[in-house]
Amino acid sequence: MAEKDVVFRVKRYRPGHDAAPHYQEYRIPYTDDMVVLDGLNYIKDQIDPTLTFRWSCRMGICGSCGASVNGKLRLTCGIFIKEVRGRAVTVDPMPNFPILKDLVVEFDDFLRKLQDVKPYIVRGEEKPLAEGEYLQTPEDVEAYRQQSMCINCMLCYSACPVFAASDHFVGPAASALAYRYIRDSRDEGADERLGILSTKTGIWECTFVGECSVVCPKDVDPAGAIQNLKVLASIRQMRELLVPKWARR
Amino acid sequence: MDDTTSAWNPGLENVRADAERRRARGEVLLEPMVWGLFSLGGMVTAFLFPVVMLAMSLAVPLGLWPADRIGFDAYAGRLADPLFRIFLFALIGGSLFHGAHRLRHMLLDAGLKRADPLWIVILYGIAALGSLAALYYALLRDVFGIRLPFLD
Amino acid sequence: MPRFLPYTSKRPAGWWLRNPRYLLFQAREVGGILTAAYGLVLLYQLRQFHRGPSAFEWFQAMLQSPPVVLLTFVVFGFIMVHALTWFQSLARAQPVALTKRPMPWRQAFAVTVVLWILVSVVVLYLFFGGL
Repeated sequence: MAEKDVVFRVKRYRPGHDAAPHYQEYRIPYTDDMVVLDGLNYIKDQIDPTLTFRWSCRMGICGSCGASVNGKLRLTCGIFIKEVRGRAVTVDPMPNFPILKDLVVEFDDFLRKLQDVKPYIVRGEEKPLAEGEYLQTPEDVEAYRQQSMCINCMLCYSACPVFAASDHFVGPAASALAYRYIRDSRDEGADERLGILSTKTGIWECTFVGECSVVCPKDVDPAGAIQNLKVLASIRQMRELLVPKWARR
Repeated sequence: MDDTTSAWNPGLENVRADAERRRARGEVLLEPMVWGLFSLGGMVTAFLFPVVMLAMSLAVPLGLWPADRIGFDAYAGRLADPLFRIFLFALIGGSLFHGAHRLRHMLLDAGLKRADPLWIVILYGIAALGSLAALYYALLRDVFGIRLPFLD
Repeated sequence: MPRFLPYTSKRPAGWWLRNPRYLLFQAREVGGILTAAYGLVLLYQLRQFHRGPSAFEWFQAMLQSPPVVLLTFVVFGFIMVHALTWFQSLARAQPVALTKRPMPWRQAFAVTVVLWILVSVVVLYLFFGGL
């Protein structure tokens, strides 16, 4: 294959050295089968070992390599260099997160929110092992399958203008995962999770812009999940207000 | 080890206590309710407003209808139908709560979060008062004969 | 040990100009607010009716004056954006499960638009004497 060149403009930021992030340009050869991540790795291996970025599986399942490529939120392993239009491939770190170094952002906040929504099966009474496994039909699985595909890449948080302005917002991925567990037939924690989500910084901050679902590389549809959570939370509140405690459950 | 203990289910004991604490801290009462009204208003405005605007405001300037179809007698004729009265009430109430909620969220999104109690009182207040006024003009006054001189 | 200085920045004021979906979202929000504006017009019109023919006709004449009509067309444009994006939102979220599996959203959108046209025709004939 004939060797072609492309210019990579990558956002650099060295904490303690730089006052603000700035672009650095690298001209690299590329082939049609290279993705943007391959370009970044080429730069790191051959040109500038100080370039810092996250990556792991290089096949769109680990969720490590999120970035803004020419203004579009993508996993760098999931977009071919030849697909990127324009004179240069501009790579920025994911917006709406504090930048630690170069393309690496800090997402402790997201991890805390994820923990807050209890992303695991919660039961009132555990079934003893002797009684066997929990049974689910294919329909039971289908109810939560879409939201279970989330790889925690956080591109949805970068897309969300509400999160951009208010970092207390629980956000799309955490909400989608809460929904995944609420919809799981083995789970009995719906009430607890809806209580956690039905706060001022929970799902009620969402104004259904919908960009989170547009950028999601795994088609999780967090926007749809949040709207469904709003319906569930509203029904739950009405039940709490209208049905006395002794009549519930 | 008894396999029904919480030892291998990290969430079991903590979930309820945690949730109670968190609920005490911040669960909102207002949001689900106004969101419900907002949704209802959204259905009403999305499905009904285009045709109502066309009929009552745009058909005449567009030359589709003669002017008397939106005149006093035509309006009185429509109000003879109690269904139309309920229809008007739904249009006004729905659009007011829908618009109030959207405007409040626009203001919060623009950063004016600390004045939220003010927005709640003003915006939902106008929506509530407007809906009550619509209830009066459309239904209470003529159908039930209730009179409120300050509104007449 | 070097100091740990993560870089943070605020959301830019023109964020909604960055892509067509954000722009449509803002238009939708404005449309929602403008429905309340027209709702107030309907309320005032109802009040004027109760004050008698001259009060009502004065208000109608004011509404039919050219600058107000122009404004009404602009508002109508936003209300149409609001309606269509509302149907799109319904189709995307499908909060009420009418089918076993969620429909592809374009199909749900088409169904909702057809429903809207039907409702509009019914309203036109039921309350306004038809075409």
